Amino acid sequence: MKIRKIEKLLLLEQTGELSSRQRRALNACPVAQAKRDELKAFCASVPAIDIEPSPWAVTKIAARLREERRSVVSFSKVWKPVFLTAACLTLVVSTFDFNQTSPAPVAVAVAEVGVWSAQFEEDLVELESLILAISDSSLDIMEM
Amino acid sequence: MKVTDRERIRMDQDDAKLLSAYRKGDAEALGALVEKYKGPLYGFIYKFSEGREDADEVFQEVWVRAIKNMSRYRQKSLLSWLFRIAHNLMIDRIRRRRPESSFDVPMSPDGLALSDHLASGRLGPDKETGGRDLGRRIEAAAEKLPSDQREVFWLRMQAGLSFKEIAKIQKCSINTALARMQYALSKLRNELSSEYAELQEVGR
Repeated sequence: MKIRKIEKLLLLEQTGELSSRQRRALNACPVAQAKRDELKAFCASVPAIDIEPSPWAVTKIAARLREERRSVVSFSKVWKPVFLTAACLTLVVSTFDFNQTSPAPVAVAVAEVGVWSAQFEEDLVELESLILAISDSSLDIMEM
Repeated sequence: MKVTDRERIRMDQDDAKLLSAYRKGDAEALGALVEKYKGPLYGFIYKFSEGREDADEVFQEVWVRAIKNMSRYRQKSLLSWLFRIAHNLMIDRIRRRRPESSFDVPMSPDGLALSDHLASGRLGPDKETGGRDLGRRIEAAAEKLPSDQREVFWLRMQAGLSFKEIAKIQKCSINTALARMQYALSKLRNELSSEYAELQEVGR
């Protein structure tokens, strides 16, 4: 097994992420133990970062979280009634508009049909009289 | 806290109880939670920030975001989730500060990347540490690693996270996280060749 592969398996072994098949392969490798000890010695030499956050960190975090919560609450307190009122107004206005404008086109259409019918009747009578005037026989217009 | 002797910290019943208590108004519960995870989390943040004040600010922001978005929390380990928030936060901060610079692209004539500059501002070079203390030498050498490798190195060594957790934080595969760790170890080996020979002796 290549050294790089052994090291990869040893790293996985350290974190407990080694499969049983990989473990068997590692155990069968003659140089694995030496590399394991070397890696272990190296890891033990890596210094721990012994540094702590400010003693006021928790107080500051708590204060920021309180502030965030307060701003969310105040936002909803202010804007909720505004949004609600706006929604109500929109609903009222749209309903009002709908009731006002819908009968108008129908009335116009009925009126237009009425005018058109009266004119058509007049034209028809005029046409009938003209045909009668130019015809030799006094036939009924319907027989023509 | 060292990974070898550190007890694995998991999102357990205690964490859930503490969170629930905090939501009900128990301020001390938050303190207990922060106290529990402050060691590895703050150490990691400190490694990637511009000093104590900056690290404190990031540390607080991580907790504020974590508590605010707790309903979206789906992972087993709270610590791993905190690291994920810290990772994203630090990337955002670096991008905001230097929008024209990439984290790893060399930005100065000496060929150093932004990450190198961030690190070099705080930790002294080998000359300052004297080169006698192996731990200091490793720490100094690790600061020279590319950010991805450095992050895997400290997440593994300082926080004791598994490669599966590291892969989730870095949004990569386990094999990529492992490869980054191996590259980091390889570079440290080259950097600390004389000291590493001693370690090999220990291994024999």
